[in-house]
Amino acid sequence: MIWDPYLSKADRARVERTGLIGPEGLGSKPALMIIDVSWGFAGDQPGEDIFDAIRRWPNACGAESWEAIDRIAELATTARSLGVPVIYSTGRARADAWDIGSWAWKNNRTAEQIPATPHNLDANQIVAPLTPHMQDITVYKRKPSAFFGAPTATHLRRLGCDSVLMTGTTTSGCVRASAVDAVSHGFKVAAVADGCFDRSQSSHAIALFDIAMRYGSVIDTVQAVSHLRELPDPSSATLPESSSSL
Amino acid sequence: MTKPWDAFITDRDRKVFADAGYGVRGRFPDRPALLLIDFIVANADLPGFDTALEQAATLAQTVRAAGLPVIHLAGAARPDGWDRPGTDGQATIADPVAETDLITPPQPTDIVVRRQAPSGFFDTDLMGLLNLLGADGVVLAGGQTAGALRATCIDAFSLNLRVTIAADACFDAFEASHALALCDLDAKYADPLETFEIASWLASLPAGLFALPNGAPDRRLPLMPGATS
Repeated sequence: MIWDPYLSKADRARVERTGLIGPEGLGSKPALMIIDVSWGFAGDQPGEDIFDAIRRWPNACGAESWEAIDRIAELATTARSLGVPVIYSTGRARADAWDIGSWAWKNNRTAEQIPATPHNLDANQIVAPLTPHMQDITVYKRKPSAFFGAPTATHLRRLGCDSVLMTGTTTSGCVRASAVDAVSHGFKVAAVADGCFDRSQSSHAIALFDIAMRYGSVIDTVQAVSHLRELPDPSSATLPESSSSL
Repeated sequence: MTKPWDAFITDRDRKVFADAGYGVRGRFPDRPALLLIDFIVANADLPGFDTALEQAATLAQTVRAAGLPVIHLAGAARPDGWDRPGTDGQATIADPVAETDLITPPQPTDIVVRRQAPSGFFDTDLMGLLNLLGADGVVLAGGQTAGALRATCIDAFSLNLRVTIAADACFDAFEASHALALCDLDAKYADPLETFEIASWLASLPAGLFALPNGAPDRRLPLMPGATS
């Protein structure tokens, strides 16, 4: 697994003993969640080296972003074709950045990110290849979890969902925080490993490990697509007819 | 200065965090409360638990002597386990109530918060109690570092509370999870420091900052129909 090289010897022995013990099951009424795949996190030059991307976009995650974006696009197409809800999250802030709050306490480049950067692209706008469709749902948030201070759990209940497939960024930050909140709200969680990305290689790997040990399942896009296709009735009867808040 | 996560992250990661502006030192809160997380029976056999408990006990003594609040976070469960969603990936357990008992009984002026999800803020009135105290930040100790402690830290951050972590008073089943949790939390959300450094800061705070409870024994509420306490 992706996390093996990052575990200590004692960790490997412990996993050997216990197996992956996160809650089991993928549910039968899923939603696809796409967390924060915006210009600010992916950068605006597909494939660009992370150190070059970071100079212009402090939160950029480098070339891995665009590999994951291809997987997410594939998964979103499958979800929409089956009537499975697609829920996007992205950040929001006032133009004067007053509400950025605690984000500024541990990072000395936050002032560069809000609101629009000098590149004529809004850091919080979803990247072009994943532009939301009319029946998709977007939630705006100020903090890591897509559930914190946002109506996400209510939306999932309204849609009749019992589970979420998590994709997006950063694996160890907003994806992980959203996974913890999803499971706390009683939804089954599966993280789609190759549809998640992070600026930190180690954080990415261990976030997936922690999800597999504590909160749910870790699968890949191929498994997620077959899961969706094999469900007897994965569609939600209560998708928006047509709306987009973008 | 060496960090607990140094051996667990790649050289690229170190440089990315630095270039992206992450991991600067935050400032201490003016009115901190100590949050002791899941020093409970279920965790007693985990690696590092005894050392963490010892450090946390020292810290709690300092905190009480300084007149600052001590809040214990623990689990809540029906005896039949129906309402226990397996926080921190603990396997099904024979006696969920006994498993969520605190190892060290709380002092009468301490505050106890019980919950059923990883974060101490989820479905609890912890924030209401912190507001009642007028706290603007929390000091975290306990575990698991990558489970309940991390989830509680993320919610505290989201509530715009200042978070300090007593890194040597934390425990986790996995060394890598412990290390990366502290690394990620240091990068974006909190200041992991050593207990002695936190203790000397807390001891320097002015006396009488908080109107603490007068003192009452902890009472667990019965969660089974018909049960009495």
